Amino acid sequence: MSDALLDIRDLHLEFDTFDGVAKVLAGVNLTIERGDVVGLVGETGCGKSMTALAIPRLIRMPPGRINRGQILFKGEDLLQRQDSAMQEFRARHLGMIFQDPATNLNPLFTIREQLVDAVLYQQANTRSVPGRWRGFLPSARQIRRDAQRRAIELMGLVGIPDGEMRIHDYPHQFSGGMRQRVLIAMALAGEPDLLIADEPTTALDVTIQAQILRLIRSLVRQLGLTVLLITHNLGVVANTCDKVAVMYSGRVIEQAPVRDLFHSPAHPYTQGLIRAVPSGSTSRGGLQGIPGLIPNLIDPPEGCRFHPRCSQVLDHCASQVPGPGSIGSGHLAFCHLYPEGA
Amino acid sequence: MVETSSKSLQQLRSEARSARRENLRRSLYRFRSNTLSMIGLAILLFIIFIAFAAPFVVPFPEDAGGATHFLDKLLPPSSEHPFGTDKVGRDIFSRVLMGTGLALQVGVTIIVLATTIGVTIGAVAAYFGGAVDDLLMRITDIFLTVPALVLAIAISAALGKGIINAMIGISLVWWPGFARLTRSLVLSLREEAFVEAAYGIGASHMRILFRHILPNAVSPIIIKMTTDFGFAVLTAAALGFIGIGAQPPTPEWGAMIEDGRHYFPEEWWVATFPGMAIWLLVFSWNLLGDGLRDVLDPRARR
Amino acid sequence: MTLRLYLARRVLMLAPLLLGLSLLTFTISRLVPGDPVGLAAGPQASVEIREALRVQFGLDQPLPIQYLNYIRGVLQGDWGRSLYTRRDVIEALGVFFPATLELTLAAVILATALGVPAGVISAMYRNRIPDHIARVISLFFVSFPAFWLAMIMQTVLGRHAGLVPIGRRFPVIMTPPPQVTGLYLVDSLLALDFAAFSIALNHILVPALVLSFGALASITRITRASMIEILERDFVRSARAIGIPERVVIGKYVLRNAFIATLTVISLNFGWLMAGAILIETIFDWPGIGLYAVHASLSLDFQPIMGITIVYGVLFSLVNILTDVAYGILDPRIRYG
Repeated sequence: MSDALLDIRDLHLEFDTFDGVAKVLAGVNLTIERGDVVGLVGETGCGKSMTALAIPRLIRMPPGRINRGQILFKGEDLLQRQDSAMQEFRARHLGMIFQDPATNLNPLFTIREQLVDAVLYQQANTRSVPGRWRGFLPSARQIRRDAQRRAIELMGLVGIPDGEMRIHDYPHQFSGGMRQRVLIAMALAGEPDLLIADEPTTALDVTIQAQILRLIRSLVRQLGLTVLLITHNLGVVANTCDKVAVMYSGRVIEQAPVRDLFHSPAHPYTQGLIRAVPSGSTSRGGLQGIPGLIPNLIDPPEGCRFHPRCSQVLDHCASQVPGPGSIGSGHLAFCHLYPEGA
Repeated sequence: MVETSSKSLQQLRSEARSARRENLRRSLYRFRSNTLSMIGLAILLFIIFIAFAAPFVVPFPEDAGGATHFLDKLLPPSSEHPFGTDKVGRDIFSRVLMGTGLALQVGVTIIVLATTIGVTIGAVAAYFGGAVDDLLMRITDIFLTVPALVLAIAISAALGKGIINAMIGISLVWWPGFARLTRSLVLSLREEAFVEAAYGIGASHMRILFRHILPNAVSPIIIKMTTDFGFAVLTAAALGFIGIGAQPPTPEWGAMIEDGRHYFPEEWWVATFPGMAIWLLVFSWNLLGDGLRDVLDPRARR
Repeated sequence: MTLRLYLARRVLMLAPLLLGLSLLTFTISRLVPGDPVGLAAGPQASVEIREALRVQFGLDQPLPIQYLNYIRGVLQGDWGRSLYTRRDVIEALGVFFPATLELTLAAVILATALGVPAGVISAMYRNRIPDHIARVISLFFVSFPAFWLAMIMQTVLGRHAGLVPIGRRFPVIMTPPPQVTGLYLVDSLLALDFAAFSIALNHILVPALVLSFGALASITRITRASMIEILERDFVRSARAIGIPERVVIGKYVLRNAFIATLTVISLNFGWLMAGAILIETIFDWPGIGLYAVHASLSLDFQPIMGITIVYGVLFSLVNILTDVAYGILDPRIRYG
């Protein structure tokens, strides 16, 4: 536990909306060990992307508000950091990629401009980066030339051929898959400890998806990366991750090694989720959904938020929030069926 | 299936209604919570009140016209003449207040005329398209080629000096902006499902244009009307100042500034107070319009 | 290459526009109820003198012929003559135009330099105190009648404080910098005459500032709105997520995207300010087109007015074309088709 790279404890996040306070995260617990590829899965609106954005503190506050919890990175609570120290954390320790590569690159700047900036500002001493005015000095141009060499190297690392040529192109001259590779290169420029990938393949064609996931796996091997992969696709998790955490309505409800989760899902919601995935053996009409709708975040159910839809509901499910119950090695479920400490 | 679809029609209609009400409620909330707009509205209401009350409350109502009291000329502000007197001894306080109604009328007339012309031309151009659109838009382009004030000066001068001609001149150069705006709005609305539906049930061109399309284009047009109002007042005052617009002794603020200019800065009050009156009217209107824009165009201010 | 073709097409498209414009002003000038010749000749002039004037200015011809004659003249560089001063319009425009252009350009630059930072600050502190302050200030200044504010500033800063000259482009007793562009600020720099530059700057500062206020509010507002829109874009979040410092994210990446919308408003304002210059010039005794235009229209002297309208039309159209070119420089996705 103590050597975890990232340990999110009881994270609560609220948003002020016109209709009331939306309790978007209501006690997220998530542990990521060094070198792991952890999948974070759940339906749309369950808070998985919000969790991802909360780690580097990219949520605008207000209207957002974190009112409880800790985000421990190498034992230090990121929520206590100054804003400037947070930027340094994002530069030095974190890489992040997002869903739609078409919108995550600035269309008005060349790849060179953006990638070189990524290289420069993720270096140890950001202050020495030549700004707009000093940019004309010979020394500054040397710094940018060196950074450009590194940028071309990175392009090779993420599998973009002809980096020397293509670095001068604009984002719209790249395909979707290539843009995502550029974004991965930008994220990796500072040799981060942790890569957060928020639905990195959802906007891509299926064949490209597989390539990008393969790239991420190979980068994990080569660079010793730790990855938090957010997705709604259990197939992606099965192929790519070592461990998986399942979220439901603002809470992680189960965390387990991938094999365990698919073979012996513990939480009734996880069981339903896995049943809802079509597989080769699913017979026509055999696909099952989970009855009911995802809960309203402004006025969520008390206790376990899944209890109104749960087929195995107990008396105290409606009143008490379940704590972690251990099922096997590294397998936790937050459900009253598996009492805490058992 | 039959049951759900018949129900959903009813339901859709009532849902649409409650959504509209909800939007209105939020808009009003946003507007009321906008302190600056409320201040603007308060000042503007006060100005409108002045416009109506002036003839009854000002100390020297006859000074709004051509009255002369040479013995009292160019007196500095005092308790008897709070804003002083001008070169023929007229009370500037009375003249500024009596000019309020005129300033409001001028602004409203220009904007209403320009909107009427512009919306009609823009809507017709977009709705009928083709050669009609080409012709009307080329004419619009010609007007947009020259800054409005320049053309307004030319037209007003040609029509002859005077406040009416100045208003006509300004309106005649002010409509192209509204025509462009309306055209783009109608062009996009023409593609909407409800317009096609209206076609389907055989509604007439006029009916589709006026009942189905234009009502949905109202918000941006109102925004432009409010933001343009201040500029229209300023432009009319500018024509008065140049000497093409309102002629003495009309208590038009721009003309009064021109009058006072020759006594500035020694007899500073002659030009200063009419200028402050213009500023207050335009400023209050701009505060109000800025808030109105936020409410009607949620994208503008987040 | 494509850009050159595009420019050529745009310039060609200017021709029918200017033709239409000249027809419009011509129509206006000939529908005048007053009698310009009568005014010009004076009340004592005999019928013969009036008739001679009429013939001299071609006013005895049928209207379509008059128009064709006028257009032919314009194309040959003969833009007619003032009824009053008898001065060639084209010559007068050549003298007055650079002064107005310089004043307008200075005002546009000032409005941009003040409005864009105000908009950026507003967007960064949206709905907080700095945002409200920027909003009130810009609305405060845009609401002034420019000619009135010019008068006050002239008196306060010029007459009382003595900080700036009270009018004109350059001291009457001194020789202005050798004419290259006609813009004193540029010409003095070209001549490396920094003393002249500072004198010219001193003269233009207050008029340009007052003029710029007219554009301040709209530039601030559009910069704020488009900054806010761009700040919500994915690539901004991406840049922050990988640790690009906020000042670089905003000052380099967001500003460039937001400036495209601002540019549109700046070019629209160019026309508004060019017209506003007419008023400012009358106050500051600025020897530009404004004074010329006001005198001409007060006396129904329509040859200068037509010339002025055409010059304004050409200039404003060129500004629009330049703006389109600038879009292409700012946004690599734009292809001129």
